[in-house]
Amino acid sequence: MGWNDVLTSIRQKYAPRVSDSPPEGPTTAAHTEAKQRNEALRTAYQELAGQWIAVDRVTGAVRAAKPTPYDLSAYLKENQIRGVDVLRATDPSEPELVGLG
Amino acid sequence: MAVPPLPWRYDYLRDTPRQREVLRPVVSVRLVDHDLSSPVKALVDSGSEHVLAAPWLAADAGADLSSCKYEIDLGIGGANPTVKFVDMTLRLQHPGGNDDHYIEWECEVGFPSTWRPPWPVLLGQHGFFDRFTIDMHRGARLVYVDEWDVFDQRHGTGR
Repeated sequence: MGWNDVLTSIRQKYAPRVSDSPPEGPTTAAHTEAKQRNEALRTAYQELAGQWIAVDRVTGAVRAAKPTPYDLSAYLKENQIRGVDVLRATDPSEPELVGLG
Repeated sequence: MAVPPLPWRYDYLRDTPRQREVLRPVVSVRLVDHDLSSPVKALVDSGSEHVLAAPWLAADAGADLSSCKYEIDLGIGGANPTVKFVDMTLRLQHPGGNDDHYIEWECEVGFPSTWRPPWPVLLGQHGFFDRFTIDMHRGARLVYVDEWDVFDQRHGTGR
């Protein structure tokens, strides 16, 4: 085995596991389920980047969107919209945050 | 209807993809003071000593920051914003979507003068990790919130 083969072997052995390839076991089903639920949110990020959004806590579907959190919270309370969570749809041009950034 | 018993299970939140998929461990919370805030996504951050929240949530929950308990400068991402701390109630919402299913406790919450993250609350050691046993699994993309003494039942005190 040449040096390059050894290096390739080491890289393969210690390559980081990507989250799309979960380990086999009881966690796999939950992983797939969560991934499907998050698809709706991924679309929202693309279409509503920078907006404050209220997403359904169970399905991840966007139930309301406003330019500011103040507007969104007022809207949710006024219309008695329940079972949602508020967050901001991130813009791909934003730096990736670590913790609070 | 009775509140479901712990543990409660939350999906990781998928953030904007970068070099690879970015996943955030989040739960659902509300702040309660003179008013009840809207429910928000909260990042579970074991590396933070404090529970912190976006300034708009103070207004949303009716908290008066002019009479804060204390204020300190914190180091956040290379900056040193002033953070005002107040005692208020933190409400953990059940992931099932029923707003009447929750657990509440008294907690010290800090409000920095500025806020960048998309999630409006960050849950740290004092106020969250000292209240529950938290399990997180990247492969499963799940956070489990369980009773405080579950850790001891599994592992003993570790001493």
